[in-house]
Amino acid sequence: MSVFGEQLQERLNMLLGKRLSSGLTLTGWRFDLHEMEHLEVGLKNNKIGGPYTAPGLKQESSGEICLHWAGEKYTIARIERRVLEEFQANLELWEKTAYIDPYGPGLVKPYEPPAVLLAHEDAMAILNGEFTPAFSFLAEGLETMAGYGTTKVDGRVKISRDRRLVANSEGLWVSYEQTPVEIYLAGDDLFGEVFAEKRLPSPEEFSGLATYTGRTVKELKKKAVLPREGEMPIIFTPRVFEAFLEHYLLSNLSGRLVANRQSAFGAQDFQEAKKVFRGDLTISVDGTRPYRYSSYRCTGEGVPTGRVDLVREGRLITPVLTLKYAKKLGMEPTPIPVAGAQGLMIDLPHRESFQDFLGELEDCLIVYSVLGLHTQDYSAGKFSLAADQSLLVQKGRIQGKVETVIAGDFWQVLAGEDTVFLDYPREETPAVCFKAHVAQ
Amino acid sequence: MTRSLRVDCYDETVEAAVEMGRKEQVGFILRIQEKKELLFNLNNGETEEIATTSLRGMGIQVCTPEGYTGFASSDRIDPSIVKELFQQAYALAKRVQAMQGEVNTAVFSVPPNNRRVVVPLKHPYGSCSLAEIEERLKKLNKSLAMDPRLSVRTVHRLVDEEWRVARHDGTDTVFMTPRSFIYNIFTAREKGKTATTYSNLPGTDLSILLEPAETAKLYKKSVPAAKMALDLLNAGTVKSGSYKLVIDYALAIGLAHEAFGHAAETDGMESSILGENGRLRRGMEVASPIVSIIDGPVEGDYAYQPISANGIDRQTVYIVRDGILETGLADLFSAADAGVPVTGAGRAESFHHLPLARMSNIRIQVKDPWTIEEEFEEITPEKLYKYMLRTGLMKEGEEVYYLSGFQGGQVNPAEGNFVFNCSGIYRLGPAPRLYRPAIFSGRILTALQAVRAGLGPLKIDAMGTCGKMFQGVPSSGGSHYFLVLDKNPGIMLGGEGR
Repeated sequence: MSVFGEQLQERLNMLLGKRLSSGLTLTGWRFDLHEMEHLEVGLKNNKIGGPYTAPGLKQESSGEICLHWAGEKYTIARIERRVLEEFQANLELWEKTAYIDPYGPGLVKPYEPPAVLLAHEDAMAILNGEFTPAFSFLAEGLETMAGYGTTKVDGRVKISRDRRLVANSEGLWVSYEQTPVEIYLAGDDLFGEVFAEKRLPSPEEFSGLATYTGRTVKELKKKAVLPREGEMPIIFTPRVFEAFLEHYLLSNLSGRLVANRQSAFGAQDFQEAKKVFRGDLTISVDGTRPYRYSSYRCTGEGVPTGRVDLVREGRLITPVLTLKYAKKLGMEPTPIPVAGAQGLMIDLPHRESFQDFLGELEDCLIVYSVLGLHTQDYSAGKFSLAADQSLLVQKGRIQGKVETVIAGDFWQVLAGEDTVFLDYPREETPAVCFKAHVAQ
Repeated sequence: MTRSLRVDCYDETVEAAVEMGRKEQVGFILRIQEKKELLFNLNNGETEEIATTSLRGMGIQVCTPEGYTGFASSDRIDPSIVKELFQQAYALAKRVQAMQGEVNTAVFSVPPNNRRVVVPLKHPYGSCSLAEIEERLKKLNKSLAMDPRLSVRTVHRLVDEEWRVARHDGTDTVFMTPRSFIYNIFTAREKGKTATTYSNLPGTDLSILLEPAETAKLYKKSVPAAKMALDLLNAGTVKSGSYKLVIDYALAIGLAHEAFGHAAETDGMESSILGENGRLRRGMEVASPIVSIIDGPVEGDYAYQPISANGIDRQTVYIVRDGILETGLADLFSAADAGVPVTGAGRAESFHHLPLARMSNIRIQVKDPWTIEEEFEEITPEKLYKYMLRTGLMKEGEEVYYLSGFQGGQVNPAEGNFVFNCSGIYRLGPAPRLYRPAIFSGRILTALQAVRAGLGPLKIDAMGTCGKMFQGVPSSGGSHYFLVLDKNPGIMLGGEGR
């Protein structure tokens, strides 16, 4: 990577300050390069491999380049391995696609970003040829889930090595390795769960994943009848809650949407620290935790990782801001949440125990998945969805699966004083209980 | 001889793969992809971003004589790399064999194919200056900012994509999958309320921007979408329940795609509700006898793909004919097990991916549709109400809801549940009343029984992106301008409680 990066740096530096035939003068540059290797192994219908889930090794070098030209002009391009071989042709295209942007960002000055642990030796060993553990995860997952009566197990293991280089013409040069690992198990087309970190799971973590998936599939096979329609308590499991946070909250916290009046929140709402959610809720982005899937050393623009509150005690603090939208809104750039809401920290002074809380409710639904979340209007906050995998719980006892249509207002979920946040086994993100309209 | 394509220059790489296959006595499918892309992003009259993308690479799927598969891919294309990838994929296939993984020998049972499809394009990538494209998009974007409460974002994407698929049996196919779209996003905000709607125009090249008839069509689609966003700010919510419904052609693709197409893909037949013991339940009555569902590539369409990612010609098929399940969307590797012929349905997102059975352009066709002479874009909810009365499809005072604008959907083919969503809902009447969108959910085996009539000619240019097993590919389709669905317990409109 460093050779590729050094050569690209050299070619770009040679152009700095020169007026090109198009009349453009290069004043600065930045790039974000990734040299990636992946091993993927799949399991379909209890069989490892096969034409749809064959084990595969994949290699690519790609990235993004941003050129700064005199006269507030910019070029952005996705680049691939052959950018150096075909540099002149690429340069001509980059000149043609330069556009004026009065809010175009500057370049980050050189600094040493936090040294976050992101590359795991055991994961790297797999990519160096010790493939066996990748296959073993699937074989073990299959065995565990079969033990719960799952008749059709599907799964996927993806282990990657990413050599990343973020550099710019100011002298920034941040180079590091990371090893994202994703392991997914699903049963009987009812329920699936994922492990995603920048390391391999411990035996306990993997066993927990397979057990939770198998047990949930088993519970979802038993049918129950919804006792009534209308308003009732529902619980989003952490994975469903994260999906809602990503679709509604993160979309509306996007600096681009805020700056362009396409968010439910206006720029002034942040300037005034407007209170929009309940007073004990703080939501942050934190990219500094070792080996977390959402961790990194700096953004593609070179903004350092860190921990930043987006919402503090129910008040809007900052949108998620790249350099451009930070400039446009007159605010500081922020770390960017990676992997959606997995990169968010949800802080509350108090969380109830999931198991204890279930026993307190007359009846409720635990929602394990919804169909159609991506079809909802993110800006409105309202939802109307099919909750296709839900368990009916009455007086703390799981009765079985019900299929329902749920409707509500996600902003109200985050604002409501009667919303209850629950500690969920194995998860950092809480489950959340609130009242919604439920119909069959 | 058709004009040359960029993927034509990789003869030596293809030959090297063939040589490896011969030497190792194994089968393979080699996929080479070349893609160039332009993306324009404008917001409220200003250019926000112009970005280019370039993607090139190859993936090779190796199959041992016993039927074990391995795969390797790289963004480098040359003879030495293909040999390296071949060895990696072969080693992985042998590892699957050692683990007694899945066996599939279908790649040895198809005839070779040497078809070449070069799509004639009126305004291809590179035929118009970027400055002119930017100027036209700015003009369009500004023309749609018709109210200070509105924010308008316009996205234009132009993709110039070529594929070459070769196999050990001498197959060497070349085809193009060009596509483009202009997408407008309207966000209305007032007094703390927000609503977002969309309009789009798909195509294969820059015609959508340079041909006056096309831009006029987009404008006609966009104005009602912008107005709907404003009107939704003060719209109420429909009570959940089953109703008689009218859906537009863009939503009909949701019905065809989510409610049926995915369940007919043969690579999921072991658990699909349309399968029994892994085989497609051909001959089963699945829809009203007036309904047929057809899938196949249409030249000039956003999701056009004439040849599968396994090098097999893509067929146009009747999945459902006159209400009866006739065939599946069958790729090379799952057709035999599903008991249907291969229809060339294998598609892959990129050279890094293994192909899956997928839809292309899927449409619902209804027998004896009612005639409408006007263009779809001319028909307001008021006019639709009059058509419904005139044709006897509804009575005055009857509770009928018209769902407009497709917002995507999702399905669980194993359980037979599907959902899709609209931009807005009108209660039809002399003065139609607008409601906020609500999820449309249903059961695969009953939803299509509810189709009662079609209004207007076929319109099959609704676009989308279909996601399956971590891959996204372009999709499209439609139906007659409008479909009328009887009240049916298998179809439910979400919303607030009853």
